[in-house]
Amino acid sequence: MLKLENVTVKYKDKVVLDNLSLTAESGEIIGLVAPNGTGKTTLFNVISNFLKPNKGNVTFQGNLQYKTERKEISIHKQLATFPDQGDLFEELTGVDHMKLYANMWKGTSKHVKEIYEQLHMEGYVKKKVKTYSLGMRQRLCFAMIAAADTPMMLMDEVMNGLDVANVSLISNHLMKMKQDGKLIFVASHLLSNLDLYADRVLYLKGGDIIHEQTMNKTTDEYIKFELAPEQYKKVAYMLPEDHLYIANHLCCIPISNMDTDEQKEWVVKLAAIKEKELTIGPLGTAEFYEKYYHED
Amino acid sequence: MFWKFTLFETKLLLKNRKSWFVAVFLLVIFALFFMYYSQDEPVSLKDKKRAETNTSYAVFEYLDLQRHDLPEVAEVYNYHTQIQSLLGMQLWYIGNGDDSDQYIENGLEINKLRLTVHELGNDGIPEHLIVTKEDILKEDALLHYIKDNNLPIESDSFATNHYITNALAMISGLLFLVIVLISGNEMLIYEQRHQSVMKGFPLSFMSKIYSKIMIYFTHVYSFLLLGFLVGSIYVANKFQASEFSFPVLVYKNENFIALSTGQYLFYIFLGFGLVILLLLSLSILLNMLFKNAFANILIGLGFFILPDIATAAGIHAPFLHPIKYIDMYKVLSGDLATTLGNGSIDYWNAMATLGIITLVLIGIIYAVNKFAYQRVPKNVPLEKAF
Repeated sequence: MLKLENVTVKYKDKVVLDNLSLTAESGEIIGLVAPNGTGKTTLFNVISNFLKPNKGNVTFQGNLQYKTERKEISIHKQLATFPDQGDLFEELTGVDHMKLYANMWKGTSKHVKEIYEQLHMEGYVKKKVKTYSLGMRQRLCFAMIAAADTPMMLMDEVMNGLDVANVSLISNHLMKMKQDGKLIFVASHLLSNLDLYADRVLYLKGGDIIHEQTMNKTTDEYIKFELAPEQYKKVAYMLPEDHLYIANHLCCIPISNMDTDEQKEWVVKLAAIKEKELTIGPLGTAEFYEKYYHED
Repeated sequence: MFWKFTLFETKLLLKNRKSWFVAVFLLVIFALFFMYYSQDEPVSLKDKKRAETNTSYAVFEYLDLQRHDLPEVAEVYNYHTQIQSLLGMQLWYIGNGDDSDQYIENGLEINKLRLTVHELGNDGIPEHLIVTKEDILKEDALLHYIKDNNLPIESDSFATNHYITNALAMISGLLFLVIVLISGNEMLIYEQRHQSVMKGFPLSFMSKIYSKIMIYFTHVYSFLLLGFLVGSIYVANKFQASEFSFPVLVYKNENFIALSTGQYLFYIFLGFGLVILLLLSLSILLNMLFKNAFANILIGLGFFILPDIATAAGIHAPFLHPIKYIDMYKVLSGDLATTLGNGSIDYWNAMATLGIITLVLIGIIYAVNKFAYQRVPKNVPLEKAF
C-alpha cells in the first residue's frame, strides 16, 4: 500500500532522513520509535507531502505519487494525519472538529455520534474546546482521525497526556481499526503500549531505520536480569560472547541456540548473581529502545 | 466536499470576533454619518442661484476693467450680459414667477452660453470666477434629466440624494479598502495557527480559495448593503423623502449623464462588489507571499497610496492609475478622471480594468500554487505552507 524509496531530507549539513526506505501494507500497525528530534515527524510530513524531500519517492498503491495536485488529492483521500492538540480551534466544540474531519473525508457526519460514544466523550464533546483538559483534547484528536476513517492514518504522539484508562481505550480502538484493514503508523514514547498492538516497530537513528522489530514472530529468546555495572565487570568473563548488556543495567543472554539442559544450567548459574528478578522472553520495545538510544 | 468546507469556514467566520467588529462597523457607519451630517442643511436652490448671480456680477466688474473695443472681450461681455439676465430670470421663476419649465429652459440656455464663452477662451474673466466646463456639463445633464422626467426643480429628495452620495463618498476609497483588508487579512494564514488540523484535506487549493473568497465576500457585502439600508431608512424618514427617481450625476465618456438614484446605487454597489472581490483576491495573494496579517494591511494600503507618492515625486506613472479605480464614488462622479487628468476613466472603463486585475490576481494565485508542485528541492526540503 505504501512504499518509501531512498527518502533523504537534509537541511544543509544536517541530515534528518538518510536514504530511508520502507514498505507497509494494509491491516498493519507500525510503531515508530526514536527520541525527540530524530525525524519521526519529518517522516510523517514526507509521507503526507507536507514536506518535499531532497531525494526519494513516496508511492501509494503501486503507482500514485505526489507529482501533481490532482494526484496529491487522490492520495489524501486515503490518508489522514493526527492533529496536534495545540492546533485545535478553541471556540469550536469537539463535535464541530469531528464533523469537519468526517465531512472532509467521508462526505457525511452520521457516524460521528457513534465514535464519540465509543470513546466516552458524550460528557464534553458538545462544549467548546477551550474548556477541555489535556487528556480530553487528545481524545478529541483521536476521535477526529477516527471520524476521517481513511485507509491509512499517521498518528504522531497519539497517547500524549492520556491516563491509563484512556490509553487502554485508544489501544483497543486502534486494534479494531487494524482489524478493519487500516494501515496505521504510530509514533509513540509509550513503548510497552506499542507491544500491545503494533505488528512492527521501526527504530529510527541517524536518519535511517536501524532496527525493525517484528512482533509475535521473533524466536530470539533471552534470559534477562538486572545487573549493576560493577557487578557486570566482575562476571562478564563468564557470560557467553553474544550476550547483551543494555543501558548499563540489563543483561540479556540469548538462549535460542541452547538445548534445555544448557538453558537450565544458565538459569541456575545466573540466579546466584542476579540482583532482582530473572525473566525469560524476547526483547521488548523498551529494551530495544534502551539498546539503541541509551548512549544518546 | 467544497460545500462542507465552505460550511466550516463560515462557522469559523461567525466565531471570529473580528468579523463581528467589521459587521457592526458596517451596520452603524452610515446611520452615524447621516445623523452627524444631516445637522448641516444642504444649500437651497434659491441660495445657490443667488450665489451664482453674485459671482456673475463680480465677473462684470472684471470685464468692465477690460478694453471693450477688443472684439474677443466684447463678445464675451455680450454673452455674459445674456447669462446675467437669464440668471436673474431663473431667480424670478423659482420665486414669485413660479415656473419650473421656464427655469429649466433658461438654465439650458445659460449652459449653452457658458460653453460658448469657454470656446472663446473666457477672455477677460479671472481664473477663479470661471465656471468649469465640468460644472456646466453637470448642470446641463441635471436639467435635461429633470425636464425629461418631469420632476420638480426643488424637492427634499434632492437632499436625500445629497446625503446618500456624501455617505458613499465617505466610505468609498481608503476607508473601504481598510475595511476589506482588515476583514480578509487572515483568510489563509489563520490556517498556519491550526496547521495540523487544516492541512491535508482532500480538496484542491483553488477550491479552498474560491470558498474563502465567497464567504468573506458575502460577509462584507451583505453587511455593507444592510448598513446602507439602515442608514437610508434613517435619512429618508428624517427628510420624508425616499424617491429613488431623482437624479445623480455620473461621469461617462468625457461627459456627464444624470441617472436616477436607484440606477446610481445599483452601479456603485456593483462596483463595490467587484472591489471586494479584487481586494480579497489581493489579500489571499499577500497571505501566500508574506504569511503575515499585518503585512496584508500595510502592503495593501501602500499600493493604494503608490500613485499619490509617484505624483508627489513628480513621476508620471499612468500604469499606477488603475489602483485608484477602487474609489468607485470618484470614478462615478468623474473626480478621479479630473484628478488623474485622464478623461477616459469612467465607470465601465474602471469596472473592466478592475475585473481584469481581479482575474490576473487569481491567475497569479493559481500559478504560485502550481509552481510549488513543480519546484525541485536543492539544498533544503520544501515545506508546503498551505
